[in-house]
Amino acid sequence: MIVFDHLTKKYGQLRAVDDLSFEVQPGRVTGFLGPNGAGKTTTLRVATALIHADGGQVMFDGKTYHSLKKPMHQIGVALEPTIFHPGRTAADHLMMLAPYAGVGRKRVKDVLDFVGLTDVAGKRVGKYSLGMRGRLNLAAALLGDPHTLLLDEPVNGLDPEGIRWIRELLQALARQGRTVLTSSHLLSEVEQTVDEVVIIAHGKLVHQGTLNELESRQTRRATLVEVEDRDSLLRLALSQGWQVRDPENPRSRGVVVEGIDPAYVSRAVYQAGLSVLQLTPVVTSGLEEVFFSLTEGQGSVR
Amino acid sequence: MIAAIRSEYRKFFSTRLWWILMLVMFAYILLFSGGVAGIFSWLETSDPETFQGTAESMRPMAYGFAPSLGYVFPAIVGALAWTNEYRHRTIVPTFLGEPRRGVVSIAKAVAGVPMGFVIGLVGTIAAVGGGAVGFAIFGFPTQLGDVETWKNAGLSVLALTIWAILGVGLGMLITSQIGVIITLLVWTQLLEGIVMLVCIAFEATRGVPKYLPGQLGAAIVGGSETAMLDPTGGLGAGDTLVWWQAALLLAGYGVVFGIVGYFVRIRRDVN
Ligand SMILES: Nc1ncnc2c1ncn2[C@@H]1O[C@H](COP(=O)(O)OP(=O)(O)O)[C@@H](O)[C@H]1O
Ligand SMILES: [Mg+2]
Repeated sequence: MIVFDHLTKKYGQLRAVDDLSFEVQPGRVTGFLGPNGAGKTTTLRVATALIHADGGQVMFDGKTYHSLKKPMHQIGVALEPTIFHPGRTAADHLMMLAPYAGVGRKRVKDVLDFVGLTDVAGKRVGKYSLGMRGRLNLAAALLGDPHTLLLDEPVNGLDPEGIRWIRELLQALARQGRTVLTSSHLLSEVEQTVDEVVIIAHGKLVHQGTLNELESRQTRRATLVEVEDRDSLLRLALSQGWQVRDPENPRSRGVVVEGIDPAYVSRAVYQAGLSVLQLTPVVTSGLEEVFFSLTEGQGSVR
Repeated sequence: MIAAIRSEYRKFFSTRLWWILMLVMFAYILLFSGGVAGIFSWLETSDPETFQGTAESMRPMAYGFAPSLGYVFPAIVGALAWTNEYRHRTIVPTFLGEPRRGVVSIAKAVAGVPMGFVIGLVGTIAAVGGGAVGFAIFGFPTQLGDVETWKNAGLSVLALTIWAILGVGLGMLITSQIGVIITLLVWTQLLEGIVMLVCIAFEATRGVPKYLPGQLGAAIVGGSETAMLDPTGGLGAGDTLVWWQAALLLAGYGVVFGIVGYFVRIRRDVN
């Protein structure tokens, strides 16, 4: 289990990570989401002792990364794949990391094979495509056979086949009981991979839960109501204090009531004696829109 | 610690720059040493009257070209242990693999010793080999059977080894490759000479120059006798230090650079 405990990282005035707390459980894939600049990479760098925290800490089964003996053996980390000497081959890169992970040449070969780089293992990384670098980055993370994986935007640069491969890989690793945290700035990218999401914006936690919870958060709350007399519906909304989307739009025959349980809306409309043409929980906004509204709504106070 | 040292070797041997530098150093020293030995031997051969004993007197200088001309190379190779990592950001996987940065620092310094030794050996072979060939061609004695020659060759290897360690320390202070090279060249070719001249101008500071890195390097292999680029023409040398004092002090510079570098640079955030 990973515990992010009131983590704060400041760059001058900017709070890149702002009192962030959440937990990541083993046995499932957790998506770490937020738009670009939300603080995902910074959070992962602080967690792995690459940069100092200004407050709080990150514990891996009760220990900080810095205090781990042979951390690669316990935590596999893949940040941006821009960390290779262009003159080294993939095999060289892993061999130089092998002592840290406490493994030998055999394991290096196996991992290269596993990520599908065996054929190009002797080629200089300078000649690698972004997708191949991503695979090598993942190979390095897996080198020490860690029980926890921290991956920063791992699908970047991968082709569709690679994306499907990594998706299945992460799920397989989680099924083995490992802890997997994988970041993305696009919900759609991880939607089919993750069991749970942690969403941050401006360095703060805005949501943690399963995808289902995320979905229901919105569908429960918006209701499209269409009645014969639109004005009386608007009056009802006003008297109830409901928030109505786009009320002045004359072309819209219905009214979208936000933030209220559809069942309650239905009762109120019925009691007001309005003749209902349609009353539907709104699913117009997909997950992506929920994500957007969650992360945008954070305002620009920095 | 063993693991961290092993990793350093693998990093080293999986890049090419260091042996390109070593080849350049070899050719450079060979050219100078062979050239000086050859030219002065030829002069003495062609006009024995005027140039009586010239070849003989040039021998220490020619055989000592590794520390007097070639020291920048092991220093740069030593610094590469850091500059390469920061330049290509392999410092990220390195610190992920070993988050105790002090351990990484010590591992790099330890790994630098045999590296420096190999470079020192290559440089010394170029100096002594090139010089000996130059003298031998014109029939002058090479003194290769002489204990003194071998002692000085050994000290030459030692001097370059210590320059490599100093380089590792300098790499911690200045993690930019070009920064290290510029610093080394500007200091050794220009600033050290100016500092020496200034120091000699005042009675109180006249003893200072012998503690400057370039002079320490020269002192390891017999001081002013081998020093070719002493702008004060030997004035600054004064009473030179014993070889081992000079060796320890030069290594001390590396340690001080390393300790300061650790606190101001290595411990900082890595992005
Ligand atoms: N080294 C740095 N110096 C200054 N600001 C930084 C640095 N690294 C990141 N930031 C800022 O911190 C914020 C979070 O960045 P980052 O963690 O990279 O976000 P994400 O990975 O979610 O896209 C951004 O506003 C970014 O500009
Ligand atoms: Mg990022």
